[in-house]
Amino acid sequence: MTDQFSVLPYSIDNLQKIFSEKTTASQQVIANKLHRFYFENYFDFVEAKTVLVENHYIDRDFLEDFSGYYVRCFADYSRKCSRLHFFDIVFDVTNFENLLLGNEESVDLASLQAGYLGFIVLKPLPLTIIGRTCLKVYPTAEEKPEISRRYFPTVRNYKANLFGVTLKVKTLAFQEQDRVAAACATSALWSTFQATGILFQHLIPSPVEITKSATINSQLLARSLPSQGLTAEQIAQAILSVGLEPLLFEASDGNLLKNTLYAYLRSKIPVLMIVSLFDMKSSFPNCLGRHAVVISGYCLGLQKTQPYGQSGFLLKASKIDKIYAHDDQVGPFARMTFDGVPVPIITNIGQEDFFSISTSWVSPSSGNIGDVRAVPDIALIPLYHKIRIPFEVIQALVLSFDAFLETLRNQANLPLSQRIEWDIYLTSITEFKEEFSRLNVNRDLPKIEILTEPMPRFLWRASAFNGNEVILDLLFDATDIEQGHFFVRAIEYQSDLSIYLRTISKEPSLEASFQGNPEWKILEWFKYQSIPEN
Amino acid sequence: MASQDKVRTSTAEDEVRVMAHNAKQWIASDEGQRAIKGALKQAAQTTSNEAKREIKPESLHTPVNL
Repeated sequence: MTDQFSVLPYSIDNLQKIFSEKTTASQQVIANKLHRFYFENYFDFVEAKTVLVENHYIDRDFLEDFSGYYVRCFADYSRKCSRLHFFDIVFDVTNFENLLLGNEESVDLASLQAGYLGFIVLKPLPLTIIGRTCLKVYPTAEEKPEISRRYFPTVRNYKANLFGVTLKVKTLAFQEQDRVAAACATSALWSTFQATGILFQHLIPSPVEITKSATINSQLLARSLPSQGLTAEQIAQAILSVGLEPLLFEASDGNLLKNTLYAYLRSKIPVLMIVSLFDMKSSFPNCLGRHAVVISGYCLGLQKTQPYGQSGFLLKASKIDKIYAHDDQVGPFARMTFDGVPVPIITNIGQEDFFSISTSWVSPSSGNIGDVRAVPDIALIPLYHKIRIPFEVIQALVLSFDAFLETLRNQANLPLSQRIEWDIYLTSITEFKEEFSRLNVNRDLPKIEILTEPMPRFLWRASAFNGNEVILDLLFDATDIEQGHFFVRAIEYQSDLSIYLRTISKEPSLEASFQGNPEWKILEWFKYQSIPEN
Repeated sequence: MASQDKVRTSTAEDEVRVMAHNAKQWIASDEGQRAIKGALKQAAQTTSNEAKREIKPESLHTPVNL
């Protein structure tokens, strides 16, 4: 019998005991951690049966934090962690040892991989013990459309080598701030870089490296270690330090927030959001402070798209009713709901109702989960430097083009049975062409011409839907400059609409109606397309 | 059967061509010009309301530390 690992049946009590034994945190500290409640719910949902404890695990991220800070403390901190692996199948130590010996009678490699739920690294610290955590996501809409409307586009593959057995889990890594090398913003950045590091090919720094790079130009304001938290400017500096460009947007409008989050998340880019947290159970909503989370997924839970703006623009993103956030004080993919409850706040012009979303934080006043609400303030999107045209520019163009089409539909027989619903998101040439090549399109569509047409590396795609049928795609060059001709082309899936738009766009007075607005570029493309002969 | 389909398609396409031709005339009319300019102005209003939203300086400089 080796002391390198142990195997236990999963239960929340066993998990709490392991947390306490493998760290220097007391049972009381662990019992009060929100993570404990999160893991209890999560492992119940995924029906965890077995936990394998890998002792003496060396975690690269903790080792960096250890060498950056803990090693120079007078107190003795261990540099080694423990790693807990979770499975939804039942097996014991003997079964697993047999597997390592090549005897797969009681448990085999395939069922071990199929039943693998992921791992949690435990840091040998007295309070902030949750290290790198990679847990399988809840069922997604792609896997189980009959029961789920969840999307986690930011996930990637992680491998865990367990004594020669390679296990895989698709997720986005999470870890709790340690309040020394990392504050909440550092943990959010670390999770963000886990996704962008693969997507845009940059090195993924450890928490202590992120904190140091964020504070490199602002040492006077506060010492970098132990971390006192990061400002938005420092977060932006950390994003720049990995070679990405931070795109800042104001996040206090619920509709715009949904639209923007969807547009970037759909292209696998996580969004770092800064919120103010309010305890709703004190006599008046009490601001607890500012917190950073990384938005890693969304749920298209609403049945119908919600009209936006004065023209009633319909955008698929408006179906979002929940977002999923890596909240270092709660857990990975923690649910935040757009439930329409405002937070009344006293400002210098009096009391105002602010848009807010729910959280899973515990209220200091009531002690209940859910009595703390998040008021979004700003968000930062880490982008590859070539992604230059922001979402709001594309949304404005499509919104205007949609208003024009809707006028024609109401007053000039545009051949559509219902109002267009738009789906706008960032994509890449690779993703777009792969998806387009799989489409069974009508024979009139120049598929070869489109697939072989040179296009920029990043594209904004606005797909128009009539009911469930895609009728038109508008492609924009995301790498261009705003005053450039960044409309690439349209893809016309419906011949009636194509004939109609190509015909009306040739009306000479139309260009003057657009008064030089950039949305004319879309119609101009149709103007120069020939009308098919009868 | 194939020729019937062809006739049906041509008829539907003819209808669209007529509709598009009529739409073109409507666009050129005073009524059409007013309607289109009105719709574009309304859309621009939504966009301009979005653009008015400003980021407060304290949002950038206040530490995020919960």
